[in-house]
Amino acid sequence: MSEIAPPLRILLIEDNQDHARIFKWALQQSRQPNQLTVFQSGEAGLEYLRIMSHQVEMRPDLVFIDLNLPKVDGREILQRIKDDESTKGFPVIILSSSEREEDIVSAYKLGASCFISKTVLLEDLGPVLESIQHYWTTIARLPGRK
Amino acid sequence: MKTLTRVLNGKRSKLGIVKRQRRHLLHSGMSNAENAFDHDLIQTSPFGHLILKDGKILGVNMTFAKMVGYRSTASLAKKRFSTFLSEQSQKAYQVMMRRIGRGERPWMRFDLELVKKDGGIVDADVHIVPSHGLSDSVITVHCNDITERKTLQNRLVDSESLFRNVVNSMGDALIITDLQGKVLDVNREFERLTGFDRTEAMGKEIPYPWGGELLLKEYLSWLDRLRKDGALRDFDITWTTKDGRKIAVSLNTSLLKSTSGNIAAMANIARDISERRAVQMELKNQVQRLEVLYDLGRSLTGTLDTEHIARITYEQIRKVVPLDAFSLDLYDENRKHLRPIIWFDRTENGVVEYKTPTTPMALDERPACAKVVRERRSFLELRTDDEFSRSTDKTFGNTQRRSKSLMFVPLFSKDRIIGIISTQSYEYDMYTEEHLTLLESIASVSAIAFEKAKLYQEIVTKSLEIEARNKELDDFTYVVSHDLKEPLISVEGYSKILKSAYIDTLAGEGRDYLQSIIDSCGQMKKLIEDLLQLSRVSKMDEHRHPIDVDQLIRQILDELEFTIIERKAEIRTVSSLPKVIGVEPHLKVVFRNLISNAIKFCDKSRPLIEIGAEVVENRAKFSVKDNGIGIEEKYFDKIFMIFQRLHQREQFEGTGAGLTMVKKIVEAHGGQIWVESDPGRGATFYFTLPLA
Repeated sequence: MSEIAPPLRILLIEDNQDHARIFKWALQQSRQPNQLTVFQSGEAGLEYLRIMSHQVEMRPDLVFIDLNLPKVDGREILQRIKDDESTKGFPVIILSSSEREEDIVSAYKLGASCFISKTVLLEDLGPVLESIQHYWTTIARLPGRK
Repeated sequence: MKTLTRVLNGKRSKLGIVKRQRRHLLHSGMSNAENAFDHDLIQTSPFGHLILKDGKILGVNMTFAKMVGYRSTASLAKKRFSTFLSEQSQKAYQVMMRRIGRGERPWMRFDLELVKKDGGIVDADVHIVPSHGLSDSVITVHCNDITERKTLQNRLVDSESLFRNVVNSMGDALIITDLQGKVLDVNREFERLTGFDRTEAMGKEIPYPWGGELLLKEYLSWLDRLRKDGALRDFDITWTTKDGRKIAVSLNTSLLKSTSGNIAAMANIARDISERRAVQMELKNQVQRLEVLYDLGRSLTGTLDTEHIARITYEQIRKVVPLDAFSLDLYDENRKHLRPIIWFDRTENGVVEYKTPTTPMALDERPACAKVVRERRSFLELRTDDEFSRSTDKTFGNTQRRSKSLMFVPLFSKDRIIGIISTQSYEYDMYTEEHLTLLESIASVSAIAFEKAKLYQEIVTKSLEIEARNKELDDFTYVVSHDLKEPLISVEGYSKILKSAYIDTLAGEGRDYLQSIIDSCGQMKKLIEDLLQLSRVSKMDEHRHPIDVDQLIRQILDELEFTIIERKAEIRTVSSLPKVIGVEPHLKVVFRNLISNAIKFCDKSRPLIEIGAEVVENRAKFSVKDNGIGIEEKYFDKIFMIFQRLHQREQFEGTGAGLTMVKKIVEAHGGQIWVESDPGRGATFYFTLPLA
């Protein structure tokens, strides 16, 4: 038996509070322990990432960013994360309510690790997010985690 | 015999002897005389010799007999000499005989006409010698046949007058001069051409009064060339006629040599080429004008730029119309504004282009242009009054010079004036009606180009506008759909949370309501997706390729396999459908929507769908025919409108965007779509696509 893994630390940058709450609820349904931090603005989230990048014990394992943020949108935040030496190592998952091909292409080009449609997320609310979490904790390896 | 011979030779010095001999001869009677003629010398003399007594022939030689056409002398004896003379000559003979009768003793020599036996005339040089002191009635006659000489003489006279006639009837002027150029003779054409009489011309030396441009120096070098080459061809000069007109002549000169081979004179043949030159000039002008119009037409086809058209027009006009100033303005009929395009003006530094004002000018500021607009036609001024001078000063830059000749020509598009061209000169009387006509021709060609450019600009502006509006609309659709999606996701998300975590707290109907909310969310999501997809069809940014429709249909039938089996549908297609050009995913939507609609809107137990195609007017015309419920004619248009449903959702699923999508795709491919139907028995959708 493996020892109990520490909770997966997740950062969500999402301006729509309803979406953030639904996301949080879905995460809570997961059997895997996790810990969610939400920022409504991209700039605040980015600042948080910079500070946390040096705190190995506290830094997020995964970053979820909503593509359509007011003022500085998700693409811009993604680009800044990938341009900054201290934050470029964070795996970023883009959440989007659109499935436009150019949005998907540009997200990957800017260095996103994954692109997920909110519609798909809603299909089967809990299990989809759980399988994402499962992928990142069990199948993929993340820095700083065994 | 010797003495007679001497007599007959007519030597005066021997006369004394002759007298004595004759006396003897006559005394001895006729027989002696006849005998004397028998002498060979007399008979074979080249001259005819006769002795007459009282006008009758006493003695005659063979030469005379032959001269008058007799074979022997015998038949001439005793005949009167006058019988051998023509009527005219008889008179002269009688006059002469009377003078002899009066005792005169003239030495007489005549040209007389002898009449031959056959009536022919022989010209003869006749010497009549009275017998001095012998007998008044006896004379000797000596005849020399001069017919040949006479003929030659006549011929000479004839040829001289012939020559004169020829020279005078020449179409070219002829001047014969000596080697110093002194005029020896001229012909009638010369008189006609120059107005100078022959008498006035004769003896004239260089410079000739008609000589015009031909200077002495030139004349001398010309003479040198002439001496060297022996002739001079087509030397074009201008003469001045007596009444002061200038005429163009072409001079051909040749040297005339005497029989001894020395150059005796020069023959100058001058041809009036004024007319020829005028015709040549006219022809050259016509050719140049045609060239200008052709070049203009050709150059203008390549451009849609207003300023470029104006420049090409100016360049062509410059070739055929003399000008010191040029302007081309476009005219806005509604605003009564002139928009200057190009202005040129000649200054001390040559032709200068002025920067035209960027703001339009009121028509009133330009009186000459206003006149064109008011009268709706071009005009020509050869001696402009102050009004136009001032107006043109204002039109053109900063030159101090004023235009004196000017032409203003409107550019017509149908019956609207769209511009005005003006050419101007600082000289009086520079333009002719021909210039004006030419300028009008050029204006008509360039007006077409301006109009074409304007239409093109309008089309470009319009299509840019339409493109921008389409993009705006699509962006709007996208943004709206996206914004609609956000709260929908919240509603759906919360509903699902409720259903998942709080279902137990809801009683009976509450659970149904919750499910309805979730279903409605799904429905709405579908509508929004359709709307989004629709907004992307019109962009057509994907590349078009030739598409194998047979293969496309096979793919669709594979995808619809489940539905087809479930509904027990039968799909029939013709063996090979035409290939088309298009965006494959979009065309797939067209066929799939039509086929699935055909299956969906069917109340029969076995739906039958037939897919056909034919080539009509170079386009592929497809048909999708079903045996379904059909469509009433009044709905033929409505079915293609977005979210229009003819049935309740419970009856037939769908958002009502499918046919709108199909129509939009077909039209984006340049095709058309329509429906024919027999309600209750089925419908057939037809649509056209470009052939591959």
